Amino acid sequence: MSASGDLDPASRAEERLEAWAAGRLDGAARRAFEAELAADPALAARARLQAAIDDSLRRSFAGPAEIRPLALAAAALAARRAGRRRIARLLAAAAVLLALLLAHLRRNGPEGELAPPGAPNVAQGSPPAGFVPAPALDTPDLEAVYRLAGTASEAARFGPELLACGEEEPAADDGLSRTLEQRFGQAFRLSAEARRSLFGPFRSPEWPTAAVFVAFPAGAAGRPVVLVVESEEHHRCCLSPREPPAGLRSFIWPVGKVRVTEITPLAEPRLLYYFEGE
Amino acid sequence: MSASGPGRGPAGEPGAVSPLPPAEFAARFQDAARVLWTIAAGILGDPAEAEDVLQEAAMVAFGKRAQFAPGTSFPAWMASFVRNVARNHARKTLRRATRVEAPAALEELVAGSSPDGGREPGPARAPVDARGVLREGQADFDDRILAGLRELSPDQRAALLLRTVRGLSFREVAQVLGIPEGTAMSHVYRARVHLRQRLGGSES
Repeated sequence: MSASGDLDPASRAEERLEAWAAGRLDGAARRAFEAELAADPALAARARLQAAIDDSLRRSFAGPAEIRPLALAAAALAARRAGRRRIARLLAAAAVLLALLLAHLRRNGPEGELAPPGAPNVAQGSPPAGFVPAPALDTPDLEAVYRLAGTASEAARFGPELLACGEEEPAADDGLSRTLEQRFGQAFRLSAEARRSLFGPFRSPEWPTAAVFVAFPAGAAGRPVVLVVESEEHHRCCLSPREPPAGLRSFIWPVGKVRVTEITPLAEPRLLYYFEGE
Repeated sequence: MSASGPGRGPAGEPGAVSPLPPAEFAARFQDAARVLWTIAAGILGDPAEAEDVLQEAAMVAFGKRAQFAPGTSFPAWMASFVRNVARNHARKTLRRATRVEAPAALEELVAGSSPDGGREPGPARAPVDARGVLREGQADFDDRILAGLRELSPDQRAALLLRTVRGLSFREVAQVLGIPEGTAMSHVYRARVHLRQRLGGSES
Protein backbone atom coordinates (compact mmCIF):
# COMPACT_ATOMS: atom_id res chain seq x y z
CA MET A 1 0.00 0.00 0.00
CA SER A 2 1.71 3.15 -1.07
CA ALA A 3 -1.03 5.70 -1.49
CA SER A 4 -4.61 6.21 -0.54
CA GLY A 5 -5.69 4.88 -3.94
CA ASP A 6 -4.36 1.49 -2.92
CA LEU A 7 -6.30 1.32 0.31
CA ASP A 8 -8.27 -1.78 1.11
CA PRO A 9 -12.02 -1.31 1.64
CA ALA A 10 -11.75 -1.23 5.40
CA SER A 11 -9.06 1.41 5.32
CA ARG A 12 -10.97 3.36 2.73
CA ALA A 13 -14.00 3.38 5.02
CA GLU A 14 -11.76 4.51 7.82
CA GLU A 15 -10.33 7.26 5.67
CA ARG A 16 -13.81 8.48 4.90
CA LEU A 17 -14.84 8.44 8.52
CA GLU A 18 -11.73 10.34 9.49
CA ALA A 19 -12.20 12.89 6.74
CA TRP A 20 -15.78 13.48 7.80
CA ALA A 21 -14.82 13.90 11.43
CA ALA A 22 -12.08 16.33 10.47
CA GLY A 23 -14.42 18.31 8.24
CA ARG A 24 -12.41 17.50 5.16
CA LEU A 25 -15.27 16.13 3.09
CA ASP A 26 -16.63 18.56 0.57
CA GLY A 27 -20.32 19.38 0.36
CA ALA A 28 -21.60 16.50 -1.73
CA ALA A 29 -19.40 13.90 -0.09
CA ARG A 30 -20.28 15.17 3.33
CA ARG A 31 -24.01 15.07 2.64
CA ALA A 32 -23.72 11.57 1.25
CA PHE A 33 -21.81 10.37 4.29
CA GLU A 34 -24.21 11.99 6.69
CA ALA A 35 -27.09 10.32 4.90
CA GLU A 36 -25.31 7.03 5.48
CA LEU A 37 -24.88 7.91 9.11
CA ALA A 38 -28.57 8.60 9.45
CA ALA A 39 -29.47 5.31 7.81
CA ASP A 40 -26.89 3.16 9.53
CA PRO A 41 -27.00 3.22 13.35
CA ALA A 42 -23.90 1.07 13.61
CA LEU A 43 -21.93 3.49 11.47
CA ALA A 44 -23.27 6.42 13.47
CA ALA A 45 -22.29 4.75 16.71
CA ARG A 46 -18.84 4.06 15.32
CA ALA A 47 -18.47 7.71 14.37
CA ARG A 48 -19.51 8.83 17.84
CA LEU A 49 -17.17 6.45 19.54
CA GLN A 50 -14.30 7.49 17.30
CA ALA A 51 -14.98 11.13 18.06
CA ALA A 52 -14.86 10.35 21.75
CA ILE A 53 -11.61 8.47 21.32
CA ASP A 54 -10.07 11.30 19.34
CA ASP A 55 -11.13 13.76 21.97
CA SER A 56 -9.61 11.61 24.68
CA LEU A 57 -6.34 11.28 22.79
CA ARG A 58 -6.11 15.01 22.28
CA ARG A 59 -6.72 15.55 25.94
CA SER A 60 -4.31 12.90 27.17
CA PHE A 61 -1.56 13.76 24.71
CA ALA A 62 -1.88 17.51 24.57
CA GLY A 63 1.61 17.74 25.96
CA PRO A 64 3.05 20.21 28.41
CA ALA A 65 2.00 23.81 28.21
CA GLU A 66 5.51 24.71 27.18
CA ILE A 67 8.30 22.45 26.08
CA ARG A 68 11.44 23.44 27.85
CA PRO A 69 13.93 25.18 25.61
CA LEU A 70 16.85 23.10 24.61
CA ALA A 71 19.40 24.85 26.74
CA LEU A 72 17.35 24.39 29.83
CA ALA A 73 16.56 20.91 28.75
CA ALA A 74 20.23 20.14 28.61
CA ALA A 75 20.74 21.22 32.11
CA ALA A 76 17.63 19.41 33.25
CA LEU A 77 18.81 16.25 31.66
CA ALA A 78 22.20 16.59 33.19
CA ALA A 79 20.69 17.25 36.56
CA ARG A 80 18.55 14.19 36.23
CA ARG A 81 21.50 12.11 35.24
CA ALA A 82 23.65 13.52 37.92
CA GLY A 83 21.08 12.36 40.40
CA ARG A 84 22.55 12.30 43.83
CA ARG A 85 26.16 12.53 42.97
CA ARG A 86 28.16 14.25 45.55
CA ILE A 87 27.92 17.99 45.67
CA ALA A 88 31.57 18.27 46.42
CA ARG A 89 32.46 16.80 43.09
CA LEU A 90 30.27 19.27 41.28
CA LEU A 91 31.60 22.12 43.31
CA ALA A 92 35.13 21.25 42.43
CA ALA A 93 34.34 20.84 38.77
CA ALA A 94 32.32 24.01 38.60
CA ALA A 95 34.91 26.02 40.46
CA VAL A 96 37.62 24.83 38.08
CA LEU A 97 35.47 25.67 35.14
CA LEU A 98 34.66 29.10 36.39
CA ALA A 99 38.21 29.86 37.36
CA LEU A 100 39.38 28.96 33.88
CA LEU A 101 36.58 30.95 32.37
CA LEU A 102 37.51 34.00 34.38
CA ALA A 103 41.14 33.58 33.51
CA HIS A 104 40.11 33.60 29.91
CA LEU A 105 38.07 36.73 30.48
CA ARG A 106 40.89 38.53 32.12
CA ARG A 107 43.30 37.49 29.45
CA ASN A 108 41.10 38.82 26.69
CA GLY A 109 39.35 41.71 28.34
CA PRO A 110 40.45 45.01 29.78
CA GLU A 111 42.65 44.53 32.79
CA GLY A 112 41.23 44.76 36.20
CA GLU A 113 37.62 44.14 35.38
CA LEU A 114 35.74 40.97 35.55
CA ALA A 115 34.03 41.31 32.23
CA PRO A 116 33.26 44.87 31.24
CA PRO A 117 31.20 45.91 28.26
CA GLY A 118 33.03 45.08 25.11
CA ALA A 119 34.76 42.11 26.56
CA PRO A 120 34.81 39.11 24.29
CA ASN A 121 32.02 36.69 24.76
CA VAL A 122 33.03 33.82 26.88
CA ALA A 123 30.03 31.79 25.98
CA GLN A 124 31.17 29.85 23.00
CA GLY A 125 30.43 26.53 21.49
CA SER A 126 33.77 25.20 22.56
CA PRO A 127 36.05 25.65 25.50
CA PRO A 128 38.23 28.74 25.49
CA ALA A 129 41.84 28.56 24.42
CA GLY A 130 43.90 27.15 27.18
CA PHE A 131 41.04 25.33 28.77
CA VAL A 132 42.41 22.22 30.35
CA PRO A 133 40.06 20.00 32.22
CA ALA A 134 41.20 19.11 35.66
CA PRO A 135 41.31 15.44 36.49
CA ALA A 136 38.39 16.00 38.78
CA LEU A 137 36.35 17.26 35.86
CA ASP A 138 35.09 13.96 34.69
CA THR A 139 33.55 15.22 31.51
CA PRO A 140 34.44 13.56 28.26
CA ASP A 141 32.38 16.07 26.34
CA LEU A 142 33.88 19.45 27.03
CA GLU A 143 31.47 21.10 24.73
CA ALA A 144 28.70 19.86 26.89
CA VAL A 145 30.31 21.46 29.86
CA TYR A 146 31.06 24.77 28.31
CA ARG A 147 28.43 25.76 25.89
CA LEU A 148 26.63 28.74 24.64
CA ALA A 149 23.09 27.98 25.48
CA GLY A 150 21.23 31.15 24.87
CA THR A 151 21.11 34.89 24.88
CA ALA A 152 19.18 37.50 26.69
CA SER A 153 16.47 37.32 24.08
CA GLU A 154 16.01 33.68 24.89
CA ALA A 155 15.94 34.51 28.53
CA ALA A 156 13.10 36.90 27.86
CA ARG A 157 10.87 33.99 27.02
CA PHE A 158 10.53 33.24 30.65
CA GLY A 159 8.99 36.49 31.61
CA PRO A 160 10.07 39.09 34.08
CA GLU A 161 8.79 37.69 37.29
CA LEU A 162 10.03 34.93 39.44
CA LEU A 163 7.29 32.90 40.91
CA ALA A 164 6.95 32.91 44.61
CA CYS A 165 8.09 29.64 45.99
CA GLY A 166 7.36 29.77 49.63
CA GLU A 167 6.11 31.72 52.54
CA GLU A 168 8.60 31.10 55.26
CA GLU A 169 11.95 32.73 55.51
CA PRO A 170 14.89 30.38 55.69
CA ALA A 171 16.99 30.41 58.76
CA ALA A 172 19.40 33.31 58.83
CA ASP A 173 22.30 31.19 59.96
CA ASP A 174 22.31 28.06 57.92
CA GLY A 175 26.04 27.72 57.84
CA LEU A 176 26.37 28.52 54.19
CA SER A 177 28.41 31.68 54.59
CA ARG A 178 30.80 29.96 56.93
CA THR A 179 31.09 27.01 54.58
CA LEU A 180 31.82 29.28 51.70
CA GLU A 181 34.44 31.18 53.57
CA GLN A 182 36.16 28.03 54.65
CA ARG A 183 36.03 26.52 51.22
CA PHE A 184 37.00 29.53 49.18
CA GLY A 185 38.98 31.58 51.60
CA GLN A 186 36.91 34.70 51.29
CA ALA A 187 33.73 36.12 52.66
CA PHE A 188 30.53 36.18 50.74
CA ARG A 189 27.49 38.13 51.47
CA LEU A 190 24.37 36.16 50.84
CA SER A 191 21.19 38.09 50.88
CA ALA A 192 18.03 36.62 52.28
CA GLU A 193 16.76 36.31 48.75
CA ALA A 194 19.78 34.39 47.63
CA ARG A 195 19.59 32.22 50.66
CA ARG A 196 15.99 31.53 49.94
CA SER A 197 16.90 30.58 46.42
CA LEU A 198 19.28 28.03 47.75
CA PHE A 199 17.42 26.66 50.69
CA GLY A 200 13.78 27.31 50.16
CA PRO A 201 11.22 26.97 51.52
CA PHE A 202 9.95 25.52 48.32
CA ARG A 203 6.29 24.96 48.46
CA SER A 204 5.74 24.45 44.81
CA PRO A 205 5.75 20.88 43.55
CA GLU A 206 8.11 22.01 40.84
CA TRP A 207 11.20 23.08 42.62
CA PRO A 208 14.33 21.59 41.10
CA THR A 209 16.33 18.80 42.51
CA ALA A 210 19.46 20.79 42.01
CA ALA A 211 20.64 24.27 41.12
CA VAL A 212 23.87 25.97 40.24
CA PHE A 213 24.31 29.28 41.91
CA VAL A 214 27.10 31.60 40.89
CA ALA A 215 27.94 33.89 43.72
CA PHE A 216 30.12 36.89 43.05
CA PRO A 217 31.58 38.67 46.00
CA ALA A 218 30.66 42.28 46.45
CA GLY A 219 34.19 43.42 45.74
CA ALA A 220 35.42 43.34 42.17
CA ALA A 221 38.63 41.59 43.13
CA GLY A 222 36.96 38.62 44.73
CA ARG A 223 36.78 35.21 43.24
CA PRO A 224 33.34 34.02 42.19
CA VAL A 225 32.20 30.62 43.16
CA VAL A 226 29.63 28.28 41.83
CA LEU A 227 27.29 26.70 44.25
CA VAL A 228 25.58 23.54 43.30
CA VAL A 229 22.61 22.71 45.40
CA GLU A 230 20.76 19.50 45.07
CA SER A 231 17.52 18.68 46.68
CA GLU A 232 16.28 15.35 47.78
CA GLU A 233 12.82 16.28 46.72
CA HIS A 234 11.47 16.81 43.29
CA HIS A 235 10.20 20.30 43.16
CA ARG A 236 9.89 22.70 40.34
CA CYS A 237 8.90 26.25 40.70
CA CYS A 238 10.80 29.18 39.44
CA LEU A 239 11.30 30.00 35.87
CA SER A 240 12.52 33.51 35.44
CA PRO A 241 15.81 35.27 35.75
CA ARG A 242 15.80 38.08 38.18
CA GLU A 243 17.84 41.01 39.14
CA PRO A 244 20.69 40.06 41.41
CA PRO A 245 20.16 41.12 44.97
CA ALA A 246 22.33 43.95 46.19
CA GLY A 247 25.84 42.86 46.96
CA LEU A 248 25.47 39.52 45.25
CA ARG A 249 25.85 39.42 41.54
CA SER A 250 24.17 36.22 40.86
CA PHE A 251 21.43 34.74 38.83
CA ILE A 252 19.75 31.48 39.38
CA TRP A 253 17.60 29.67 36.92
CA PRO A 254 15.92 26.80 38.65
CA VAL A 255 13.75 25.17 36.07
CA GLY A 256 12.66 21.65 36.55
CA LYS A 257 15.65 19.69 37.70
CA VAL A 258 17.90 22.25 36.17
CA ARG A 259 21.09 23.59 37.53
CA VAL A 260 21.92 26.70 35.64
CA THR A 261 24.67 29.20 35.93
CA GLU A 262 24.25 32.58 34.41
CA ILE A 263 27.35 34.68 34.00
CA THR A 264 26.04 38.19 33.88
CA PRO A 265 28.91 40.63 33.70
CA LEU A 266 29.18 40.43 29.94
CA ALA A 267 28.47 42.94 27.26
CA GLU A 268 25.31 41.06 26.64
CA PRO A 269 24.06 38.56 29.18
CA ARG A 270 24.89 35.09 28.10
CA LEU A 271 23.85 31.92 29.68
CA LEU A 272 26.32 29.28 30.51
CA TYR A 273 25.12 25.92 31.57
CA TYR A 274 27.23 23.67 33.57
CA PHE A 275 26.46 20.07 33.94
CA GLU A 276 28.22 16.82 34.31
CA GLY A 277 28.95 14.70 31.34
CA GLU A 278 27.89 11.13 31.14
CA MET B 1 5.51 21.13 10.76
CA SER B 2 8.03 22.57 8.45
CA ALA B 3 9.57 19.87 6.37
CA SER B 4 11.66 20.50 3.36
CA GLY B 5 12.87 17.08 2.46
CA PRO B 6 14.38 13.93 3.79
CA GLY B 7 16.89 14.25 6.53
CA ARG B 8 19.73 12.08 7.57
CA GLY B 9 19.36 10.03 10.66
CA PRO B 10 21.77 9.39 13.45
CA ALA B 11 23.70 7.08 11.23
CA GLY B 12 24.21 9.74 8.61
CA GLU B 13 27.79 10.08 7.63
CA PRO B 14 29.65 13.00 9.09
CA GLY B 15 29.51 15.66 6.48
CA ALA B 16 31.88 18.43 5.66
CA VAL B 17 29.21 20.98 6.44
CA SER B 18 29.61 23.10 9.50
CA PRO B 19 27.27 22.20 12.33
CA LEU B 20 24.18 24.18 13.04
CA PRO B 21 24.95 27.02 15.40
CA PRO B 22 23.61 26.21 18.83
CA ALA B 23 21.09 29.01 18.76
CA GLU B 24 19.73 27.88 15.42
CA PHE B 25 19.61 24.31 16.61
CA ALA B 26 17.69 25.41 19.68
CA ALA B 27 15.26 27.43 17.58
CA ARG B 28 14.61 24.61 15.17
CA PHE B 29 14.21 22.22 18.04
CA GLN B 30 11.66 24.50 19.61
CA ASP B 31 9.72 24.75 16.36
CA ALA B 32 9.52 20.99 16.06
CA ALA B 33 9.18 20.26 19.75
CA ARG B 34 5.46 19.53 19.75
CA VAL B 35 5.68 16.99 16.98
CA LEU B 36 8.78 15.46 18.50
CA TRP B 37 7.15 15.27 21.90
CA THR B 38 4.23 13.46 20.34
CA ILE B 39 6.54 10.94 18.73
CA ALA B 40 8.16 10.28 22.07
CA ALA B 41 4.81 9.98 23.80
CA GLY B 42 3.56 7.68 21.08
CA ILE B 43 6.51 5.34 21.21
CA LEU B 44 6.44 5.28 24.98
CA GLY B 45 2.68 4.94 25.04
CA ASP B 46 2.60 7.36 27.89
CA PRO B 47 2.94 11.12 27.98
CA ALA B 48 4.50 11.19 31.42
CA GLU B 49 8.10 10.73 30.39
CA ALA B 50 7.91 12.03 26.88
CA GLU B 51 9.54 15.32 27.61
CA ASP B 52 12.52 13.78 29.36
CA VAL B 53 13.02 11.51 26.39
CA LEU B 54 12.69 14.47 24.09
CA GLN B 55 15.32 16.40 25.99
CA GLU B 56 17.69 13.49 25.98
CA ALA B 57 17.23 13.02 22.27
CA ALA B 58 17.86 16.70 21.74
CA MET B 59 21.13 16.48 23.54
CA VAL B 60 22.24 13.49 21.52
CA ALA B 61 21.26 15.24 18.33
CA PHE B 62 22.96 18.41 19.43
CA GLY B 63 26.22 16.57 19.76
CA LYS B 64 25.79 15.22 16.25
CA ARG B 65 24.39 18.31 14.64
CA ALA B 66 27.25 18.38 12.17
CA GLN B 67 25.52 15.43 10.56
CA PHE B 68 22.46 17.46 9.75
CA ALA B 69 22.36 18.25 6.07
CA PRO B 70 21.28 21.82 5.37
CA GLY B 71 18.16 21.99 3.27
CA THR B 72 16.75 18.77 4.62
CA SER B 73 14.00 18.40 7.14
CA PHE B 74 15.15 19.16 10.63
CA PRO B 75 12.05 17.59 12.23
CA ALA B 76 12.61 14.38 10.31
CA TRP B 77 16.29 14.32 11.22
CA MET B 78 15.58 15.13 14.84
CA ALA B 79 12.75 12.61 14.95
CA SER B 80 15.14 9.78 14.24
CA PHE B 81 16.95 10.58 17.47
CA VAL B 82 13.70 10.85 19.36
CA ARG B 83 12.58 7.46 18.10
CA ASN B 84 15.83 5.81 19.06
CA VAL B 85 15.98 7.33 22.49
CA ALA B 86 12.32 6.60 23.12
CA ARG B 87 12.70 2.98 22.08
CA ASN B 88 15.72 2.55 24.28
CA HIS B 89 13.86 4.14 27.13
CA ALA B 90 10.87 1.91 26.55
CA ARG B 91 13.06 -1.17 26.59
CA LYS B 92 14.69 -0.11 29.81
CA THR B 93 11.39 0.49 31.53
CA LEU B 94 9.69 -2.58 30.16
CA ARG B 95 10.84 -4.74 33.00
CA ARG B 96 9.20 -2.65 35.62
CA ALA B 97 6.15 -1.88 33.58
CA THR B 98 2.86 -3.11 34.84
CA ARG B 99 -0.17 -3.60 32.78
CA VAL B 100 -3.01 -1.28 33.47
CA GLU B 101 -6.15 -3.23 33.81
CA ALA B 102 -9.44 -1.66 32.99
CA PRO B 103 -10.63 0.04 36.13
CA ALA B 104 -13.37 -1.78 37.94
CA ALA B 105 -15.54 1.30 37.83
CA LEU B 106 -15.52 1.28 34.06
CA GLU B 107 -16.23 -2.41 33.92
CA GLU B 108 -19.21 -1.81 36.13
CA LEU B 109 -20.30 1.10 34.03
CA VAL B 110 -20.06 -0.89 30.86
CA ALA B 111 -21.64 -3.99 32.34
CA GLY B 112 -24.45 -1.99 33.85
CA SER B 113 -25.30 -0.42 30.53
CA SER B 114 -25.42 -3.73 28.73
CA PRO B 115 -28.77 -5.48 28.54
CA ASP B 116 -27.16 -8.83 28.95
CA GLY B 117 -24.59 -7.62 31.43
CA GLY B 118 -21.83 -8.65 29.05
CA ARG B 119 -18.39 -7.14 28.99
CA GLU B 120 -18.34 -6.29 25.30
CA PRO B 121 -21.07 -3.74 24.83
CA GLY B 122 -21.95 -2.24 21.50
CA PRO B 123 -21.04 1.29 20.59
CA ALA B 124 -24.29 2.70 21.90
CA ARG B 125 -23.24 1.52 25.36
CA ALA B 126 -19.92 3.28 25.30
CA PRO B 127 -19.61 6.07 27.83
CA VAL B 128 -20.30 8.80 25.32
CA ASP B 129 -23.47 10.67 24.54
CA ALA B 130 -24.97 11.26 21.12
CA ARG B 131 -22.47 14.00 20.36
CA GLY B 132 -19.50 11.93 21.36
CA VAL B 133 -19.14 13.81 24.63
CA LEU B 134 -17.96 11.72 27.51
CA ARG B 135 -20.37 11.10 30.30
CA GLU B 136 -19.53 10.02 33.76
CA GLY B 137 -16.56 7.74 33.84
CA GLN B 138 -14.58 9.99 31.56
CA ALA B 139 -11.34 9.35 33.38
CA ASP B 140 -11.93 5.64 33.18
CA PHE B 141 -12.67 5.98 29.51
CA ASP B 142 -9.36 7.77 29.03
CA ASP B 143 -7.58 5.09 31.03
CA ARG B 144 -9.04 2.41 28.87
CA ILE B 145 -7.90 4.19 25.76
CA LEU B 146 -4.40 4.42 27.19
CA ALA B 147 -4.53 0.71 27.89
CA GLY B 148 -5.65 0.12 24.33
CA LEU B 149 -2.84 2.28 23.04
CA ARG B 150 -0.33 0.12 24.84
CA GLU B 151 -1.53 -2.84 22.86
CA LEU B 152 -0.50 -1.16 19.64
CA SER B 153 2.99 -1.14 18.22
CA PRO B 154 5.09 1.94 19.00
CA ASP B 155 4.92 3.10 15.40
CA GLN B 156 1.16 2.62 15.32
CA ARG B 157 0.78 4.68 18.45
CA ALA B 158 3.04 7.42 17.22
CA ALA B 159 1.35 7.53 13.82
CA LEU B 160 -2.08 7.68 15.39
CA LEU B 161 -1.13 10.49 17.74
CA LEU B 162 0.68 12.51 15.11
CA ARG B 163 -2.35 12.26 12.89
CA THR B 164 -5.04 12.73 15.52
CA VAL B 165 -3.45 15.07 18.00
CA ARG B 166 -1.08 17.07 15.80
CA GLY B 167 -3.06 16.87 12.59
CA LEU B 168 -0.09 15.94 10.45
CA SER B 169 -0.64 14.76 6.91
CA PHE B 170 0.22 11.16 6.19
CA ARG B 171 3.21 12.36 4.24
CA GLU B 172 4.48 14.22 7.29
CA VAL B 173 3.71 11.29 9.58
CA ALA B 174 5.66 9.02 7.27
CA GLN B 175 8.56 11.41 7.12
CA VAL B 176 9.05 11.84 10.84
CA LEU B 177 8.55 8.16 11.57
CA GLY B 178 10.79 7.05 8.73
CA ILE B 179 8.17 4.79 7.22
CA PRO B 180 6.38 4.69 3.86
CA GLU B 181 3.29 6.83 3.54
CA GLY B 182 1.06 3.85 2.96
CA THR B 183 2.36 2.24 6.09
CA ALA B 184 1.57 5.41 8.01
CA MET B 185 -2.01 5.27 6.75
CA SER B 186 -2.29 1.63 7.62
CA HIS B 187 -0.92 2.24 11.11
CA VAL B 188 -3.39 5.02 11.78
CA TYR B 189 -6.44 3.23 10.47
CA ARG B 190 -5.68 -0.03 12.17
CA ALA B 191 -5.01 1.77 15.40
CA ARG B 192 -8.35 3.54 15.20
CA VAL B 193 -10.18 0.29 14.61
CA HIS B 194 -8.30 -1.39 17.43
CA LEU B 195 -9.19 1.32 19.89
CA ARG B 196 -12.84 1.26 18.94
CA GLN B 197 -12.90 -2.49 19.38
CA ARG B 198 -11.11 -2.08 22.69
CA LEU B 199 -13.76 0.39 23.76
CA GLY B 200 -16.49 -2.02 22.91
CA GLY B 201 -17.49 -0.85 19.47
CA SER B 202 -18.70 -3.43 16.98
CA GLU B 203 -16.80 -3.37 13.71
CA SER B 204 -18.11 -4.83 10.52
